[in-house]
Amino acid sequence: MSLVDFDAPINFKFNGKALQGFDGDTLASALLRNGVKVVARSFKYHRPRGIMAAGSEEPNALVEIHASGVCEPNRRATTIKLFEGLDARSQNFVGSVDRDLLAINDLLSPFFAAGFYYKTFMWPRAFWEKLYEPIIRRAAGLGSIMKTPDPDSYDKGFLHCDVLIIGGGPAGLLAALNAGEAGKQVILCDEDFILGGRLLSEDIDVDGTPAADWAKLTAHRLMMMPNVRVMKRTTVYGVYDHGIYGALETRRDAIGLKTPRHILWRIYAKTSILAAGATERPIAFENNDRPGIMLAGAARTYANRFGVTLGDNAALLTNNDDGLRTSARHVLDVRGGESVVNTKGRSGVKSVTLNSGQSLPVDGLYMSGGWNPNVHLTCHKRGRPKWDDVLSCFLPDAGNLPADMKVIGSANGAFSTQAVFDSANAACKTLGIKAAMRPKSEDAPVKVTAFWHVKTKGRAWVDFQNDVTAKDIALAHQEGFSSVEHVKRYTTLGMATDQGKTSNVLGLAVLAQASGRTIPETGTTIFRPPYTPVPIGAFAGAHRGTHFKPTRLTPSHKYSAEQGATFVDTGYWKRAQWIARPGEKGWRDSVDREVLTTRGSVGICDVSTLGKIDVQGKDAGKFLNKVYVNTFSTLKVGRCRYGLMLREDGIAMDDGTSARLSKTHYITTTTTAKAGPVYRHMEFCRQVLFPEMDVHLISTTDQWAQYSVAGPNARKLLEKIVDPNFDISNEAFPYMACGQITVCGGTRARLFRLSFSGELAYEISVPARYGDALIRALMSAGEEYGAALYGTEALGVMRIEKGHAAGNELDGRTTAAHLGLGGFVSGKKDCIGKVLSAREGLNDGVALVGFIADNPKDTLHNGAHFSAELGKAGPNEDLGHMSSVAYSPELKHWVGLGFIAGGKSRIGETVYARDFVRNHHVKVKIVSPHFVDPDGERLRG
Amino acid sequence: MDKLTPLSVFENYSRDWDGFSIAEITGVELVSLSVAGGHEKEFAKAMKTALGCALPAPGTVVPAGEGLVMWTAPGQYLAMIPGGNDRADEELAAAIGATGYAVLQSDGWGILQISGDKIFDVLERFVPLNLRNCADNFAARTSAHHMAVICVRLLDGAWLLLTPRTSAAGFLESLEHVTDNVIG
Repeated sequence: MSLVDFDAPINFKFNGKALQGFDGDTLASALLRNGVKVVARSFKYHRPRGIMAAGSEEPNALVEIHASGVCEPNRRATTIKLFEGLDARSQNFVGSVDRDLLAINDLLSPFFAAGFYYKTFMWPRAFWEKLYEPIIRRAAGLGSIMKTPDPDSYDKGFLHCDVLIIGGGPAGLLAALNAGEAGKQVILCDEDFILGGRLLSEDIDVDGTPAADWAKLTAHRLMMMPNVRVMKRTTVYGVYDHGIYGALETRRDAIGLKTPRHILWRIYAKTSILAAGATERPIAFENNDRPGIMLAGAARTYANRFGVTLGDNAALLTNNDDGLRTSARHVLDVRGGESVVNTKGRSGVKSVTLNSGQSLPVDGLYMSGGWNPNVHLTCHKRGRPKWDDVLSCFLPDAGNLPADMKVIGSANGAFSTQAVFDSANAACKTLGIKAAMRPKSEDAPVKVTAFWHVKTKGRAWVDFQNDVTAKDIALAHQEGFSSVEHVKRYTTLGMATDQGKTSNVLGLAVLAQASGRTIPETGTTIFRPPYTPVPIGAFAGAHRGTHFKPTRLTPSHKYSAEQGATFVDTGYWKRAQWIARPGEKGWRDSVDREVLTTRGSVGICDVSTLGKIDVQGKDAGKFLNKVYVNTFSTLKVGRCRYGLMLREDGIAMDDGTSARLSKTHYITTTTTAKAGPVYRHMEFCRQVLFPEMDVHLISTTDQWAQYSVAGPNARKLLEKIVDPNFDISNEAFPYMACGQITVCGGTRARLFRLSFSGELAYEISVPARYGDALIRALMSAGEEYGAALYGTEALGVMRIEKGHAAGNELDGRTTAAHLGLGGFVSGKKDCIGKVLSAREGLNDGVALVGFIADNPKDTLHNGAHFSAELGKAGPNEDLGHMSSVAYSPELKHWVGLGFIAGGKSRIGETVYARDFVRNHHVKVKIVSPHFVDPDGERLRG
Repeated sequence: MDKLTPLSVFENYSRDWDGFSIAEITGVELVSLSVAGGHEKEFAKAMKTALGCALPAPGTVVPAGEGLVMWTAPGQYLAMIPGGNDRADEELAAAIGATGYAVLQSDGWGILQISGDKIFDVLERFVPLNLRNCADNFAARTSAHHMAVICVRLLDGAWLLLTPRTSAAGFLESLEHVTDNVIG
């Protein structure tokens, strides 16, 4: 009945040796077929380890996959579908996997009991990080990670269904068939590359045909249904809120290729059916971890599904009837008083010692300690499974499952194939889904007697992956760690990549025996996602490199790039920071030139990133009165006004200008950084606080390309652009005027006379489709004035020179009073934040002022704290801090803005600006924050 | 001064894969429309006169001549009107009068039409909505690779994807990347 195609050979390498397997093999089955026994070394003691299981529960056979300079560690040989050219290597050894130098750890095992490093490496304290921990980490571990970026690509996706069926064994196949026939949108996920689950491993019939054939036919039927999506090699690894499931699809095992290796699916399911099957348990006895010792069910899988001959002199140790299905020469049933007390064989079991004292030569040992239903996903919403004494296993608690989840088959304790089918049909019936068929199969009763541990003096492994023995668990209990959660953390039981699939219940049972309690009294642990490991790359998906976050480009981006701009990330935006010209030796040269050109003639800057919100409605002015501290309902049409917005708690939130285009129409601008939050805040106010108002908001940030044209020649330049029927003279279009105009022979535009730089300045906007053309037209028109394109650095320098607050000052801690804008808060109306802005203690006399160095050659630094003297520094001496600094090319020295106790009343005093980060302390003079044109003559000119 | 030349968002992009095509739609105007408080009936009537369509229900789109109107929020709609007229908002505002408010949005969005047999294979790797099973007149705002997108199902089975102009280049790159992953 083998499902391997022996006519399709596949060549692969293991530890550099060329081997051959067949299509349908896993790496594990191919290794066994080739007689490879030692596959890896154990985590702590470096003991030789072989293959113990046949599925994702495998704790031992972890390997690295290599391909042209890249490698992925910790892959389970049991879940790698063999492929041509596979280069698999053992991991966690020094020397060779057969002769590992670190196997000395096994000889030193008496010193390496659970928690040994907590007790041993306590002094000298400094040695822990520098010596002990690095050595321990080198000696104990899993595979090696690459130190180069992951060369593989990953994708994400979203799926929706009526019924998600998790597991493609007999229960899942039948449930999917039922739901598919009922017309439901069905997704069937299974981690294997062939559907069928245990039907592929057992020599049984379904409806008179071999079970594997029934599985194949049913799978084919499902794949023909348009409403059923069959997803092989897809592990549902987590259950989340609102019917959302995480699933990892493996498209290929080979690494380093271009196409995505994994796809991380988010599945939205109205109902889920968990048919995840069960995992067989090992039995703890001395040296039960040798290569060749395997779970009995796995032995049947390798024999029946893969056609691997494991040996002809194997022994079976079982506590249940299911184990008796396994073909073995020596059957040792603990219920009959037989057991194994020890084994021998360095690189593979050679003999077993029975409790009778007899030594039995063997070439393999199969063990079955019963089956654990795979309840993991039932726990992801804090469900806790319940112990069943009859079945000797934990079952899902039906009253505590994730919403809309049904559990069927072995995952719910139905262990005969007939019981599995019946449970699938019964669960479907509760969902109103009729049974499409009622298959007949074996219905053997469950006969199991709990049996966990053969007590001897030696080490009996419980957690094979983390090298946790029954003695470790007993020691943990002896040292006071009696809670299973404490035992897990003290011994590392159930951790690492297999998350204790084969060890958790056995560990719990051993702890129960050590503490003299029953298993229910001892408790259980619950499971968290992921069910099996998910590569971090799969979570990242395509969001790497330039796709890590969205990128927003300004309308002038292309032109700025052509001009050699250096771009800076401001949020998602890429903004021109400065635009270097030939001969400039550094960014300061460029910025100084941009500032001096602007102040001396004219400069142009893309300010499209400022948030733009279109506010319309009969109550638009009234609404703005509520969200800004100052009044907008009285603003005349054709005029702009600066506005300050507070949070509900009275702290300054943002500032900007609002322009009134008509009686019912305003354009409000925000800072670049706060465009989103301000729009959200205003929508909240509109929908929740003032639903009675007729006001409507639309973000138009992307709609309009907007440029600042600043400098004494700004008007002259614009007069070449603005169509002649619009008068933009100082008289017709004064400071803070706005209007709808046309440019360049009829293109629709808006003009605002606003100044952030302190110069005669305008902001001109056109529909963004014309943004690229307009920047070129502006620069062309500005040629006769030597116009400069300027970036965010020059913008920042000029606003500091002018004394305008920006993000550094609106830092989420400052009030209108701190910013020197207390007078803006209208006493005639209410606004959001007004009451709490006046609360006691908030306005502490600290206010924004300017600073210059006492010695003009000194530089200033952001973040420096002010104190009266150079002596002691601490909260009691702190007078405030420097928030923004710049070198002023206009004044030829550094200027700064900052907050200081006493504010403008201290102008003329000197204090120390103390920068403890750079160890730079400067005597500074407190001055007006308006360094350039303090009376505003330029901007009104 | 020379007239300004408009630049389309994707510079007239189009590309075909086996079973999937992307093409930029140009020459249409987008106008956002809001209903003036208390004028719901009058607004609906004015829209019927102006664009010849009834107002779409939430999550849907209705044809309006050679264009369409989609629901975007309570009391808010987005009209897509053929013809490159950057004063379409003013004309619509005049048509609906005091019953509502119009805002030009054409330049704020890039529009891609996608079509082909593999459309859902691509979309399920890009958009979190259940588009395979949605109604014929489906329209919804959502996100794709952390960027905003409006998905509109057209009667011929093709889809429109509207995405903000400033992040449109990254949006298209992401869509191409996904398509390459799905189709190769």
